[in-house]
Amino acid sequence: MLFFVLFHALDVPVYFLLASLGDITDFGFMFSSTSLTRKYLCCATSALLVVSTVPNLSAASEEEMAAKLALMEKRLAQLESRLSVNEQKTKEVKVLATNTGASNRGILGGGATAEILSNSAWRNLRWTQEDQWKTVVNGASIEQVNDALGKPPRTVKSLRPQVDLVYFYETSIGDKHGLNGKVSFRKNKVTAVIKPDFSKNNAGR
Amino acid sequence: MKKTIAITSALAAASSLATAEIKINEFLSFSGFVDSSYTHSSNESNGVEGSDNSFGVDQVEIDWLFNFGKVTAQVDLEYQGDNNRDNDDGVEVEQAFVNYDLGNGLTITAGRYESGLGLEAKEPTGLYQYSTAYDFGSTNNGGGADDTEFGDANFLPQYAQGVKLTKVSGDNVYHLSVQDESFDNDGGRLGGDVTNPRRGNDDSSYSIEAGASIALSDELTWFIGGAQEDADTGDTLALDTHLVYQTGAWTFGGEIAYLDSDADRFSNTPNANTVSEAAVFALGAAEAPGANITIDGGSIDYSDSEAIQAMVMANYAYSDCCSVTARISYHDSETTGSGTATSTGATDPLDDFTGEAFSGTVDLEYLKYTLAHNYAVTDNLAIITEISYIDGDASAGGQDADYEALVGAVEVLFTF
Repeated sequence: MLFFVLFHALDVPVYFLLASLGDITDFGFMFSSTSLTRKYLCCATSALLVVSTVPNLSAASEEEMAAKLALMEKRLAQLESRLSVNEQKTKEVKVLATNTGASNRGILGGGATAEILSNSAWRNLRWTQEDQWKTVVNGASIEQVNDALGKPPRTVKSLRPQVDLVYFYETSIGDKHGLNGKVSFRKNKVTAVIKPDFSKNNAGR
Repeated sequence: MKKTIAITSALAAASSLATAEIKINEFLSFSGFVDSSYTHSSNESNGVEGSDNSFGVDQVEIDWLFNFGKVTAQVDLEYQGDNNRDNDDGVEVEQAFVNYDLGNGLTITAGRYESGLGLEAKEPTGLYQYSTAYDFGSTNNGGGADDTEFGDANFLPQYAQGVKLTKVSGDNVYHLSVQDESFDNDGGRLGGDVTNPRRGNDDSSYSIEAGASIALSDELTWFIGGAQEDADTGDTLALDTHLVYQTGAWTFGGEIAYLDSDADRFSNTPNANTVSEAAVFALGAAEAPGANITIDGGSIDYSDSEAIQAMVMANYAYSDCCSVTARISYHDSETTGSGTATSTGATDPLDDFTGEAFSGTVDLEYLKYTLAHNYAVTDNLAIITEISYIDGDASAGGQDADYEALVGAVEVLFTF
């Protein structure tokens, strides 16, 4: 009720303001509750009230809103990052599942391997992506290979005369139908690279 | 066969060197090998000819590797067959140690680990040929002066228990180890006065081993090191230095090692046939060499020995899969001792004797020439063939005994 009285009391100065501008010459509408002019005046008064209060509200919450926005942006970035990682893992697991081979001749067996790999966050599978092999060339250091492909699931000190160490990148040990890559080192430098046959890999694309 | 340069597994684990492994999960992986061989030897000892052959699995080893970031550990389990070169049957823990990475290339290792001394690796996976340089073979003609069973005469330390500090700086590696023993004398304790009558053995020892592997250039590596053992039964000092030069398809290596001991260093060595040595002493003291007698009992105590051993080798890889190796190794020792010997099986019973006392000095000198071929079928399967000629002389009390042997071997080595 108090709000109603105050609201309509404000109509009077608004009316005089409009009248002084020459916009209103007829004063009868002030006594008619259905007058369009009065309704117009009420709307104008409401707008004036809102406009007059908005700057105060904005000033009060500006910093808070900025903080909230920054938080949301940070959260969004985190979610995008997680999504990217999960998409990559899904892609890699699909690659592995596709390339583990129909047979279970590997030491771990094809199905078991895919299951183990898909549930193993520790295992670095970026070697299953063809682009990762671009920097693995003769003369590259062992650290560069580790960065590009990750540490392999199997390493052998080679019995060959001119090779010290061999990295075996395999979806399943001994499975010829799966993805298989091999990098040979001598004195911590790459001497030979056999890339996986990505042409038979459809899931990785 | 690879890497004559003996980089111990503890050292490899301590440094950034990559090791062979099959990962089981983030924390656990394993590696290992299966080594089997056929050998045939023809020998002549003091004019008595003999031959022998062996066939079977020499050694199977599985190494378990644990990785917990700064803390890593390794446990090596090995099986050695009846015809292995160490005459050490059964399954045993060859190594068990834990490493803690202190940063800045420093690592501390505790447990049982192999010595850093010696040019040749201690596992067949690290050799360029089948046999080791200082294994001079043996003959067993039923006992007697023609038996020569000194076997592996290598006096450098093998495995011990202790604490080791390793520093890796670039291509240089330094190590310092405090351990219970180095030469199999009074191990299992670490110094101190032991008084425990119920154990029946109050002897104790400790040993310090130190070594430095220095890369003089990209091709040339020099190692120098030594071990000093302080045992209640006597002290022993060994020094070792070797050079390795690798260029292109060639690898050259050379080593010289020296030992000075006043301990009974043969008493705990399974390959040392003390009865045969007693025979040499006995022959030197009482009988002519080549006499048809059988020494079937006796004992011997050594009081002092001095030895030197050396080798040179060259390896040439003539293709991606194959290489040939030539090696000449040498051992010379002089040992003073005394004891008793018993013979009950002489052709002429009058030649028999019981508890005959003897004393004197035994000089042993061996030369071994080895030619080996290594064919790597794959990265983890190799066939090694070898032929070695061994020429040895023993003298005691002014008497000499000769030993010659021609040994052929075919070895199949599988690693994983």
